[in-house]
Amino acid sequence: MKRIRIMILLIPVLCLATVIERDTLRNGLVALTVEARRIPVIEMRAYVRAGSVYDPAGREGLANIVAEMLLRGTQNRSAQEVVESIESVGGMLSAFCDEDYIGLSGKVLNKDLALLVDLLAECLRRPSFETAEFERLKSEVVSGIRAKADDPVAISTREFRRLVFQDHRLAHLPEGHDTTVAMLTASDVREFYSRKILPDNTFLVFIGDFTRDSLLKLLGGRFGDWERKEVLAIEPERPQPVSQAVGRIVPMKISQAYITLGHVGPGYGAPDWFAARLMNYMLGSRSRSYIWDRVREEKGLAYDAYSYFKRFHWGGYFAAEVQTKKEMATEAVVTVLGAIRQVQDSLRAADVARARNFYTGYFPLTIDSYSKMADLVSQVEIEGLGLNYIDRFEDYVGQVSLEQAAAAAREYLCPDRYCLLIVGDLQPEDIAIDSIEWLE
Amino acid sequence: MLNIVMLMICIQPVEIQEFTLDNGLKILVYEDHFAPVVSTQIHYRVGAYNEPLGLTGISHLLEHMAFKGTKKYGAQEYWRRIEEAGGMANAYTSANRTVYFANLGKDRYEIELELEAERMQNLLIAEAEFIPEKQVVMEERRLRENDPYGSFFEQLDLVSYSIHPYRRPIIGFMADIERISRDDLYQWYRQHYNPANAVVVIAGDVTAEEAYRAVRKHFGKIKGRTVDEIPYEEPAQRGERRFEYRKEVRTSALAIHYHTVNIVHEDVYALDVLSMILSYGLSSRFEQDIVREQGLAVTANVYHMKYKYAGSFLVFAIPQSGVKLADLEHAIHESIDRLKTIPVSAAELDKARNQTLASAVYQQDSPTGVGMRAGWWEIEAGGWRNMNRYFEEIGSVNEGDIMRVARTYFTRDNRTVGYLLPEEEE
Repeated sequence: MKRIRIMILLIPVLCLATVIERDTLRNGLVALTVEARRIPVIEMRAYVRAGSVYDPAGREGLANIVAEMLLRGTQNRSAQEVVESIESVGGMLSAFCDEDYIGLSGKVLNKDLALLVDLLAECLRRPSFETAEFERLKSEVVSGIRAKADDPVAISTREFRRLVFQDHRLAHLPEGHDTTVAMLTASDVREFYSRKILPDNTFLVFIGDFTRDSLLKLLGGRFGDWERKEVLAIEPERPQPVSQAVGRIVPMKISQAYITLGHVGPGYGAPDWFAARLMNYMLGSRSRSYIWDRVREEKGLAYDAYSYFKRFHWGGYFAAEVQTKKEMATEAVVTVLGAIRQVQDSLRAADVARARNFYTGYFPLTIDSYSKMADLVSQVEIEGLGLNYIDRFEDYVGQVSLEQAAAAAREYLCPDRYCLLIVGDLQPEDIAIDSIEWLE
Repeated sequence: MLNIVMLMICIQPVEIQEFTLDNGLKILVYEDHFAPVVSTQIHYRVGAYNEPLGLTGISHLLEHMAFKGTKKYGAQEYWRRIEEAGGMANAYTSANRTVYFANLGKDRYEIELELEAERMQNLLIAEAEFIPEKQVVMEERRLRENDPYGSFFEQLDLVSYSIHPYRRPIIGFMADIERISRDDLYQWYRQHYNPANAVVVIAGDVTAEEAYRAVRKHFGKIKGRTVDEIPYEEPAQRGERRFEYRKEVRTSALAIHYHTVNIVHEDVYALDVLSMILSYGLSSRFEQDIVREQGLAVTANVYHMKYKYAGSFLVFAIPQSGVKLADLEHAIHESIDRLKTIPVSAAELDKARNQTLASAVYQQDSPTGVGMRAGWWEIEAGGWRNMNRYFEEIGSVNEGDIMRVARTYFTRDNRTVGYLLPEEEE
């Protein structure tokens, strides 16, 4: 068992010392642990590198179904017994699926740690994949996807992905499509599971009121004989940007236009990520940014206006979002594009200093609870940020210069080659911007 | 039962230090030294409940304008100072409260106190800022209208309550938002924002004494004045109400509302345990029976909302593809009616109590959350001490209590049923 131990002092007021431990079992399973004593609670995450980018073509939604099926019965317990076991003691256990990972997330009082680990091991290692449960789940997921057909936010999210990523594996949301989920078979689920849910493709995170030694003993007992198998790697394909501005309108009889504008962006591992992050803070953070000030504060066009980067292992995207009265859609789009050009052309040293100040001061707020700490430790492992990440955060942010932020704006923002998705009661001719090629 | 006892041991009562300044400002301090962070909150005793007809939404609009400059600070100054300090700030309006808060490092939380004291005394509400901000709020309202369920829930409140102010939307009716003038807003501000009508909550890495001194320094000299509030009572509902709400949707939905009790009523505890049994978690009755076994719903949830003057027990369900709303409604009534005649099992009761008690422990992972709840209990629920009492009382709910409240409140005459349906073809 490999052990790495890092002592972390939180900034900026150094009164909390947090120790993150990273242990690796012989079969490759990684456990990250942080002991904490605020409340008698334990927060857990289990991540398996088997997210929706691994869905085979035509089987979109498979990873999500596999994740949910982990909780739908094991070789020892029925689906109902699994949820009863955890909920009867006031605990929580749920499945998740994102683009890169599927997994389980849980929380219990410290007295129920052994139960949580038992259930986790059963669900990950011995799911029963019972046919009746599988068919029931499929029906629930298909109905759930269809129920979102009336939600302009859900439609925007789904259709923007399609527009930006075209035929790339990131083009679909983890939940998949109603048609592809309906086509899935129990053997699809079993095959995906056997290829992907493996110890050296998995890491666990535990934060809270336990001792590391007793937890590792428990994990060794429940996971130590989980057989290591080679995980077949798929060569990453990078998503391709569009060569000119393209637009699509999804017709919906509503009073506002739900506007999403963006393009392919950086994935994990981009060396200039901190510069991009600070740059986007100035461009599109809520409350004081180029987009917010122009769209909301100066023109009163929208309740909310912001931009963000969404990153994955295989790429990512940049997006700005505004919802405005449909008659003001053109002005909103032009205003957002203007803000993007402004951040590219006239970023000031004072702006960068402002962003640095904010992130440095804000950092303790991002790890002030067990659940936030669990999310951050998970992200450290996912991105390979290093166990000293928390300790180094201030340096990473503090080293970003005006030149680096400006370079990130030029590198990662494309105000001439973007994808524009509008959900609303509009036609392309209502958007008075000539350079857009409208798609059906 | 052993489990319940163990859980009760796990729960440490929330310890809050309470102070009151001479001007009537209540101060609640919750110490939590886990992280070097402090949440500073001010809860005003004003919300949609207090608004006169014709000015609905004025409390929420005021909340927006409260970030738009004071005599001392320009329109952007609040955000500039919070941001420079690496803080996270926001505000919200509810039926009975308007809340402003900022979370900051422990060495700088006084910034928020200073800004809030200035906001309490010297808000400008400049016409130049007011006009675009009103447009922003109108866009916020349009967002709600475009949400597939937003206007449906608004209709549900309008039908369920006949005269009570809780029937009005917190954001206000569009015509009222348009109508509200700058002077209306300023008058509303002067009427409601003063120390005697507010509670300051400080939660996090501070000592009570230090927090008290800081609040006194910033607020001690502001004059306080008690604001009267009319206690409205909704007349008992005498007959089922039903309505259809047509909208351009593809998926229909069902909502059922029962009037219950205000937050300080003794039946709250049994109603809350009952709501846990029906729909909390994947092992709940609705999830197991209506979603999984019968395959009638994508989701079927219960929300027991307790307010200062009334309570609402709401069921909301979305049918699975091909399921008729009437069939879904029938199944939900059946499930609720079983509670009136068949005692819940000891295991179900234990589980619901365990879930409630465990959630009490989980909630203590966030001083911001503890502070928000303390403010809520203080203003709406007879004092923050009831927060601890609540969990003690939950532990003593029994099968008979569940059956009694089910029979009392889940009657046909006391319910309102709403169907969200696609627009009919001409």
